[in-house]
Amino acid sequence: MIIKEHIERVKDEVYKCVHCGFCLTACPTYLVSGLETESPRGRISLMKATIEDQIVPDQNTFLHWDRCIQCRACEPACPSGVNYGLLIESTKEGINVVRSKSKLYKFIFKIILKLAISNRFINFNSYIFRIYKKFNLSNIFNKLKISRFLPNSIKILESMIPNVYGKPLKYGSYLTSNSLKKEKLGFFRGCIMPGIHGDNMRASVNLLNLLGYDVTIPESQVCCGSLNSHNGDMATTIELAKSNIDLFLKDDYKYLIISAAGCGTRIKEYSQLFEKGSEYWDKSIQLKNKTYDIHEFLFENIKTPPRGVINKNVGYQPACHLLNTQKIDEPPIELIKMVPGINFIPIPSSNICCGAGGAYSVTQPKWSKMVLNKKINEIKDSHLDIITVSNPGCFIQLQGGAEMLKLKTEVMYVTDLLYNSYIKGED
Amino acid sequence: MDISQSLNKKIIDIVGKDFVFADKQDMVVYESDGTHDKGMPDFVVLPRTTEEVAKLVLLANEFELPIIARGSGTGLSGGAVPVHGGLVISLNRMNTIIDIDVDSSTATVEAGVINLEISNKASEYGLFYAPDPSSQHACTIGGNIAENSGGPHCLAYGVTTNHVLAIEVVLPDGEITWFGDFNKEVPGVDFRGLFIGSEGTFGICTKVVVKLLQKPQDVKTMLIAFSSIQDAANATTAIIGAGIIPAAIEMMDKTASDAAEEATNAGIPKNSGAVLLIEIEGFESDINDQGKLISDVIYEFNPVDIKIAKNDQERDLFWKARKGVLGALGRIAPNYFLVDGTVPRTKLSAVLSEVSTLAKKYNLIVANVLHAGDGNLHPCILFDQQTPGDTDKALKLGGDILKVCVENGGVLSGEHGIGYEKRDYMPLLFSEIDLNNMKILKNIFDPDGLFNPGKIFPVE
Repeated sequence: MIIKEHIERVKDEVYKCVHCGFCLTACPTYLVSGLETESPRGRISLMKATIEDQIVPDQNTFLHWDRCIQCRACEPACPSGVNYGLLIESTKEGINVVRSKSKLYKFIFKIILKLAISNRFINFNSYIFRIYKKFNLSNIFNKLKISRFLPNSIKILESMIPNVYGKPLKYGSYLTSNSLKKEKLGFFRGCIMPGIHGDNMRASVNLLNLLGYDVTIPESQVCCGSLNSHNGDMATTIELAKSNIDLFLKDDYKYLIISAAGCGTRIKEYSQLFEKGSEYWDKSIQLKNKTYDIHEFLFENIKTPPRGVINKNVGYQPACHLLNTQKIDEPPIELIKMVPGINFIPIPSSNICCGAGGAYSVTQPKWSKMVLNKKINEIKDSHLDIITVSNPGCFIQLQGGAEMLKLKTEVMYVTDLLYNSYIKGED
Repeated sequence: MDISQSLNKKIIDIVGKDFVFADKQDMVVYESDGTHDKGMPDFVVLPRTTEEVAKLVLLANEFELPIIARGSGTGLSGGAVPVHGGLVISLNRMNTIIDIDVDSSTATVEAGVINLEISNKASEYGLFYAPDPSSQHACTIGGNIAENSGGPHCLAYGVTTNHVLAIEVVLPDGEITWFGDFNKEVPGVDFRGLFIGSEGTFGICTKVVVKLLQKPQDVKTMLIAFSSIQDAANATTAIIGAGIIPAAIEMMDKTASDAAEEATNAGIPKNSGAVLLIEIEGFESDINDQGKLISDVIYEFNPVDIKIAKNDQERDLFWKARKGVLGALGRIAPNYFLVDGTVPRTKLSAVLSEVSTLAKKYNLIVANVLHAGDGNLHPCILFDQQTPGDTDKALKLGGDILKVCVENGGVLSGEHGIGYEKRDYMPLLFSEIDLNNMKILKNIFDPDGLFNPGKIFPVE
């Protein structure tokens, strides 16, 4: 049985779980449902029951695993140190193999994942979003009688079409004008952000320039592979990983800077894809050692804080893949606090996911929305002027939520807040 | 339509189809709690209101189905395990904090509210809920009521029953009623006291009114390492003997503290024979005096390292290490059998020596975690269910440890309840007359024996 085989590969990790239940209240899907089938312990129980032939997983069992956002908040909550990420990835790989037996599924899945990692398609998409938002087609969509007959999930997806900020970020070199010239950096572009968040990405690049670094965004970079691995397509993930490893290990780049938390986690965990001691395992460790999330890099390197005063109440929603896997908790908050005039207000369950989860908001719209609802209501009750985020997925998700509740709270990248203050301080 | 299908339909009529599980493929996740015990439910249902619970109870009566209430399933005595199948009523959707009454310092909550959520909410008013089981960020108040749960700070504050004013319960005949009162002692028979700790065998608790306390002005948390577990035990006895009652005195032996350190990097000195985690609370001047007294007392027991938490963060980290230690033992072995025996404090050192001798005899690793101030031992027997014979060996060792506790004037459980795991040891502690009286009481509440069968009472 294919699923069983895949779970057995990580059997030792499965049996590390002593089912103490400490993970339950760290899990966003458990918190909104109260169902243990939608909790980390439950999902591991299902894996255990599969290995022990107590159950034969069916489509319904797959659903419980599919509903995992893979935010990995259960990992820091787990006293036994279960590497849950490894468990769910291996299980989903098995599910993918089973589903691929259906020719139609295989065909559609292949196309979707091919498109997801194709720059051309993503750029095309961002132009569509741009036009959709510019001409306020959303209004028209909602007025159309036909929209009433569409399934709920389509309506949810429509409501989550992101806003577009500025022209796309281009490949190439962005040179610093700072006289204290430092090393050259490689910049990881991510997938959807350069197209729709061009202005925001440029702010990040500008911040790095301000610190004296030359920034290069090489055109030969490829998708980090996280979308593929989250959905169990490990073969493509490995292919993509090798390509990025070879590119960014070159001496041209002293460091690799990443501004999307999911990409950061995937790249820092490339070694999990290769056999320990093999050539690419070695290389992936080397790459990990020079890879930084932009927030940790800025925090370690900013010597002169910005001077522009911003008198606002500001909260912060951490990206799960910064907090739970890269363990970057304080740096973004410290960056926010560097800005003069800011009144930092922590939001209650900031350590819980917002429901974005990479492609999760598209593959599980109903659950994504349930998780978002809880989050956005907490933000509403915190009476913030600005809620800052450290990752594009969170940005799009929270902005969708804020529009839904017509909140006055503005969603903003931490890096944008910081950059705004630098610009303001120059006047 | 067979009986099970018609029952399924009736359950769906009560709570809706999204909140019923009847497929074994799903229900495997509800088979066990924090223990290694297992039992497959016939149905799992998640009601939203007390009225729904009452309807489910009536339905179960009609179909003569056992009823097992479940919270977060973090229990450590097999209390929520449906050993005879039946209807598992999971109360996790009944999780509303209904009211915090600041003037009378009480909170009214539904049974599925997480223990720590009460303190989180009350902290806005400078208040907190005292009983703090190690699983407090995951366990529910309803589960705490069932097991009369304790926790590290119960040394100074007392256990659950000392902090509960009133409870709303659904009785085995489906009647909804309140025991206790909101703000005063109730004359007559104390049904509230009777119900708390009855482990789901007298009915289902659906709402709770708890007392809230003022948060202490100041807190000091010390982590003290000793070269042997005997030194740590004797130091505990001496501190309380000197008339000091700290808020908590917790102990971890070498195996436990090393695992906890590995899980949290809290800064626990590695390879210590044992560590004590002592917390004192009160006004700043009091705390300084007490702290000095404690330092003087423990000095005689050769402490090898003393750490004082520099700030709240470090304090939280010390407690994270202590409260997560059971899970951390998963790094050593995949299963544990946790013993909950409690002995007079003065016997701690002697009993711990016997535990160590027994562990050697059975050739199993035992990690000792103790609410030392209360004399509450948690010897944690580590084993691997996959190794044939290991489970039996661990259970036997657990039984032998409990016998030692009772022989030394102790009891079978300090805070986890008897549940399924310890029911057969009840005759060690209670005479036939005692047990009979308990059964008479149980029969008055639940004459049909449908509520959590197979728990507390030894099988004849």
